Amino acid sequence: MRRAALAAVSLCFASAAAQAHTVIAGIGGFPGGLLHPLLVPAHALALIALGFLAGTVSRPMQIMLMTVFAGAAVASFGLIAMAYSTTQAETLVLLLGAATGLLLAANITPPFPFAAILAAAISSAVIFDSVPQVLTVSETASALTGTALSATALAAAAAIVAGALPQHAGTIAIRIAGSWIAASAIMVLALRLSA
Amino acid sequence: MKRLAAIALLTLAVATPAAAHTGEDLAGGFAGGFMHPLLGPDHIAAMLAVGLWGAFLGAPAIFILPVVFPLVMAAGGVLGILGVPLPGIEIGIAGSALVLGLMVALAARPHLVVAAALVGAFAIFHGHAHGTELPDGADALAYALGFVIATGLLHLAGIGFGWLTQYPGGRMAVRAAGGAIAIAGLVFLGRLI
Repeated sequence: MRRAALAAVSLCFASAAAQAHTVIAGIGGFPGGLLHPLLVPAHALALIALGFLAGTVSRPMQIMLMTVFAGAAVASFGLIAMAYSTTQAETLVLLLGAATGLLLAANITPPFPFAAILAAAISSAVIFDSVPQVLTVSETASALTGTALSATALAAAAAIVAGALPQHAGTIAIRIAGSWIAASAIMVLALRLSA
Repeated sequence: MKRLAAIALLTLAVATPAAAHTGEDLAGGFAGGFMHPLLGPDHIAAMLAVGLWGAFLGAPAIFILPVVFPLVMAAGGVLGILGVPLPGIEIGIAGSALVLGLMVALAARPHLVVAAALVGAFAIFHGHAHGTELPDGADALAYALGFVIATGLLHLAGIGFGWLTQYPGGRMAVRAAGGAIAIAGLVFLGRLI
């Protein structure tokens, strides 16, 4: 009976942890990782905001920013493999999304080093906040690979859209979108910090 | 030990995964937030007035006001979330329809800073009202995004109607719409007092 009780208690913990980070129940691994940045609003907003910001700079700088973004994702992957973790990644994603949204709303294009740091920070925060709570290393690796790919693709797509918009109307649309992203992120940040 | 096993099994039966990061409530959260400004006639009237006034004032007010409003609204939302009391919220919201409607009806053309400050001041009340109803949990951002986008679309609807100011007859139509919003604001205020 003692063994049964212990087994039941361990199952209680295991059952909650196994699905704690699945965006859609039943979809894990690489497909789950691919969907993660698209279906977690905080991630999607931060990535779209970064993409819009990248869309305001020249094409070579856009490519460099995306390279920094992808590089930071790989570096974060390495850190996670070395068992580094953080519980504040979601807050950081919201904070960076809000900051990027404010830059867009104010129509400020930061100097490249600042934009590169921002891109690296968003990339790392998204990856650290996407670590699936699964039991196997291979599943974690495939999920994070999917997350890194779709996060880079989403930011790049937003940059392409922003770059393709007409000059004046595009600037206005991006400023308004930036204010929406910043406003949403600021309120949820307040909610998280007040909890 | 039997009791421990029973409790553990019961907990196992009712245990649900931690919902901090699931996508299940996403659509519901967004829909709830999106409908929040659309179900309040006072919110609708004030937001349309912001758009109308922006269109009436022309560039750069036409896009500065819709950028200022959500950002200041977020500040008001933070006050609501943190539980900071703000007196006369409903009066402020109804008053925003009255005052902003009057600005359009009277074709007021203050300096951009004054217009932005006026719109921003009223945004605090709207944000506080939304912020106090912001749900905790995974769908909070979807909810916040929903009501921010609905607010923005109401601004755009006002701006769209405000394009009529380019035509001689349209200018009068826009001012008349401002007058109608001001009257609606007066009615909202009358109900509160």
